[in-house]
Amino acid sequence: MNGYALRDDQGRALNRLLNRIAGQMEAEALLISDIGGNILAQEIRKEDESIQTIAALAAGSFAATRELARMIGEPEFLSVFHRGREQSIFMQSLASQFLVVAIVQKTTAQGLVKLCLEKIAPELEVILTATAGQSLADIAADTKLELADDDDDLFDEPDPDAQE
Amino acid sequence: MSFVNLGKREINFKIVYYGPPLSGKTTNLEFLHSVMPDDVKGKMTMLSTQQDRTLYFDFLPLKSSAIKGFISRFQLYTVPGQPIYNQTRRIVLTGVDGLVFVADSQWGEMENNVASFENLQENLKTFKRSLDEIPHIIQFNKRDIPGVAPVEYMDFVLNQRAVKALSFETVAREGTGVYESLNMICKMVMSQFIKDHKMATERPAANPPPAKETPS
Repeated sequence: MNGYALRDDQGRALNRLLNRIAGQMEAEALLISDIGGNILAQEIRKEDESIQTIAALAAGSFAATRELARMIGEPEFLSVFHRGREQSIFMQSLASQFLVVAIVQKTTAQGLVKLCLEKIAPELEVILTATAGQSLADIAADTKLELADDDDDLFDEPDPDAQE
Repeated sequence: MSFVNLGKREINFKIVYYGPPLSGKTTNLEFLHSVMPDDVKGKMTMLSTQQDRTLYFDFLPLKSSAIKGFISRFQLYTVPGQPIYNQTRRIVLTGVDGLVFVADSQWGEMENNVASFENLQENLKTFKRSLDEIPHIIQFNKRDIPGVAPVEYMDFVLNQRAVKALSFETVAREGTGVYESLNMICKMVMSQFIKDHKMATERPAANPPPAKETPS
């Protein structure tokens, strides 16, 4: 199994759907990730390098709640809400393998977030289900992959004197 | 499990540092984070207890242009080594593309090394996966401590599978061998990915997927 791959048009379609509801729920950030924390699409107000970390932590957090769910006889929790003083995070499972993560202000009601996601969930699930079953070879068989330079190290060890 | 975003020309890989408690998994990531240039590394996150023991995982994202025409993103994770956190280790192992087993070279830790290595293989089985199909290397860490077990002995104890894993002598707190092992596991993961892609493209598709575009 060589992982899975997202086509350009699928990525754009996911972004369009997120864009449709991000304004309605006044989301600070809205993203779709897989359960490993890889981001497939995102709609964020301000570019922030920590979005990747947020996705990884959200995936880990959701996985932990899935184990909690199993311990009480539920296959999984469909959604999880972390309520903060100023901002909150809402996570919803999609097509078993994916998550929608929404970061919203305290002024946005949890019900509104759910309602907005319900609107686009069927379309998201169609795209995500198709994505989960496709490899790079399926969508771009003519792509030739090769290492930039087989002899070079990927990451160069810095001068020890430059170490913090 | 690798993920390719074709529109953004990005490939994501997940690498997990596994091993017994206090063997130096977090120290590996801390060293890398302290010396990597800013344009290569992302934010490092550590989910630790008050005693600085890993509670859930540590996370460090790195990026490289090692595959022509793509950005390769490597997400480095550690697992908590303590036996009680096995469920957490399983969660972190989900979709792993490459493994670095960090063994503690001290004689007194051999039993823990073996138990952790067996635990790794058991946990992979729960995903119907095996070390045979996952690129992996072994670090013999803490080589600076006087009187540690000889490398040959550690190799005998931990590296007895049909295909032997590449092993590295490391001192993670000083960074010795840390870069070498990172570069090796990343290259192994990418080579496996390229090989799998090549095999898949050369094999005639039994049921080619529909090529239709997603409607706007």
